[in-house]
Amino acid sequence: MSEPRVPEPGVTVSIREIHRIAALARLRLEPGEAERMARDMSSILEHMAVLGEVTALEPSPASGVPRIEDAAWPRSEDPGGTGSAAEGDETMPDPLERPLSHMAPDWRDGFFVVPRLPGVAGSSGERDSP
Amino acid sequence: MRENSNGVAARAAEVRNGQLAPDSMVAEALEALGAWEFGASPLNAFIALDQRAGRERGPRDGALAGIPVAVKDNLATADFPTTCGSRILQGFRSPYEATAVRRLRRAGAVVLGKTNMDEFGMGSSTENSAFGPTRNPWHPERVPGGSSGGSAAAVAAGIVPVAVGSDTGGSVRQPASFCGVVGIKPTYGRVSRYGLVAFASSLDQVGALGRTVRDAAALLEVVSGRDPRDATSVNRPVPPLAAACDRGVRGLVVGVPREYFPPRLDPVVRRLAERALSALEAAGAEVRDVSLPHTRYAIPAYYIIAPAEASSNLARYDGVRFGRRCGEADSTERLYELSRSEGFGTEVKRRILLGTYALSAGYYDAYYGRAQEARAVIAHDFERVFRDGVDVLFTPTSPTPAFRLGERIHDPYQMYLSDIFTVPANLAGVPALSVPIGLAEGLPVGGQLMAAHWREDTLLTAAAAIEAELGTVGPPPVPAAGRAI
Repeated sequence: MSEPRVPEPGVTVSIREIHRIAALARLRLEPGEAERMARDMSSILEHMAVLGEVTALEPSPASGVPRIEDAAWPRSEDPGGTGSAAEGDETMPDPLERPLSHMAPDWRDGFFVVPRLPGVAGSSGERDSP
Repeated sequence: MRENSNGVAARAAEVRNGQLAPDSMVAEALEALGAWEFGASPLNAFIALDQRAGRERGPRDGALAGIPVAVKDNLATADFPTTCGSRILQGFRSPYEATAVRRLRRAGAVVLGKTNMDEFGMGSSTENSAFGPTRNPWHPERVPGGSSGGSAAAVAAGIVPVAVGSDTGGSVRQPASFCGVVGIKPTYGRVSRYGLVAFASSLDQVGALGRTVRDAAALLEVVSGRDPRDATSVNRPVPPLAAACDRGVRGLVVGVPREYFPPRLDPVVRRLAERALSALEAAGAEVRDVSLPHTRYAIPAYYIIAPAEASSNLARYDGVRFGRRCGEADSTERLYELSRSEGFGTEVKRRILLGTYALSAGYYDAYYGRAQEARAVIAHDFERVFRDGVDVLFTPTSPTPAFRLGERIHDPYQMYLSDIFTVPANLAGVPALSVPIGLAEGLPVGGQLMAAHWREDTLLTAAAAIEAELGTVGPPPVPAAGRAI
């Protein structure tokens, strides 16, 4: 089946479809939540059908988008990217506000100590160094 | 408009030349905060507060020397948690600071605290916060607008003279309108987004709120400019924005797009908007009817594009790298699902689902593709009117004054319609500003100005003229009860 090119008026999102989308988005919906979301999304998408009337512009250079030459990339004559930065701005890479070890819940021998992910072999939920 | 002796520029000058103690304005701010936050109906404008802010000894220098500033809680700060109003980031401390915040501090400003907001910027009422809703200082049963409702309420209440917000579809301008303050969304690329937690990256901009046009201009001037850490920040000179407030509007062409004055527009909003246009004419501007014919596609396009980008940006919150982690999961997949489901609120889930749907196989062309086409024709409308000689467009900021708490929270599309006049500027990337134009039954109403890319100076010129003709609307009466902190 080919993909529709325009939104269809009167589209309703089924509860089954909500669960499919939720799985893609890694969300778990509580009982009753899927029904409410299906109702809300059907109502919202009904208002989107008007997009089917839009006549596209002829392809042209994007407007309102910063030009690539304006972008704040470091330039070849300015390898640190600092030459025309506002006075006093730090150079890249960004200095951290605190040492790395101060940001970790646990830190051992120069490594972050993190909880094992559930289901990973040998895991019993205890912390382990990567 | 001439410099107000209570304006931030004048008071910062007093600090710099020793006439005012560096911590005196912070002390005033904390006193005002005590009155508003510990009374019968607390504003709940702040998520985090530094009661010792600005108490360090030594001289202060810079354009905002000693000025207390509130910062929306989606800008990374080193000394406060950064939560985005979400349970999923409760207690999160950023390892670095947003460029906008760093520039404020470098200009001598004192960050008083982090302000409440709709979770990840998704909302128009500041009711979608894990930390409870913020109230409107003008009426405790009304919303302050959103998503920068905490910043707007803090400025309106006189706690701080200026605040930082962010604007993805109107999140600075609509709360500025509801709270009776000035709010500016600059051109996309004018202010660095480095350290601004991403919602919809092609639309997000850091914005400024102030009690007056000149105060908001002073803050915007400090945070604007190229930043090597944000590739979308643009290498263009920042014009003297505060000075633009003195230019006067003689000869300025003001376009009035008829699509923003529909028959169903609140009659008081219409009357106040027409009064503001008369004020501009009286000051020497030429007012002209214009058309932006694709405006009606703006809300549908925005509410496809923004959720699509959000569904991608918010994928990083999975309970593993940072943020809330569910401790009950028996598999990695389950860990992701449970952490996200427990951490996100209803509106964020709704938008993630909407965005995922619009991007999924079978729907991408019909929704996301069409929305991008609509965005292009909307941007073309703006290009055409500015090319035809219009300097600035004038519209209402929102179709109504502040609505009641709880009035729209269960009707998402009605809530989305609060943004109907503000989202087009984000889709086109042009600068826009809300300035108070009067009161409707005791509630502030804002007028919106929009200009061509990089013409924030023109916005400020027109806004200052409106302010000079009509005056400001504040401040609201301070509640009687309260206590010092």
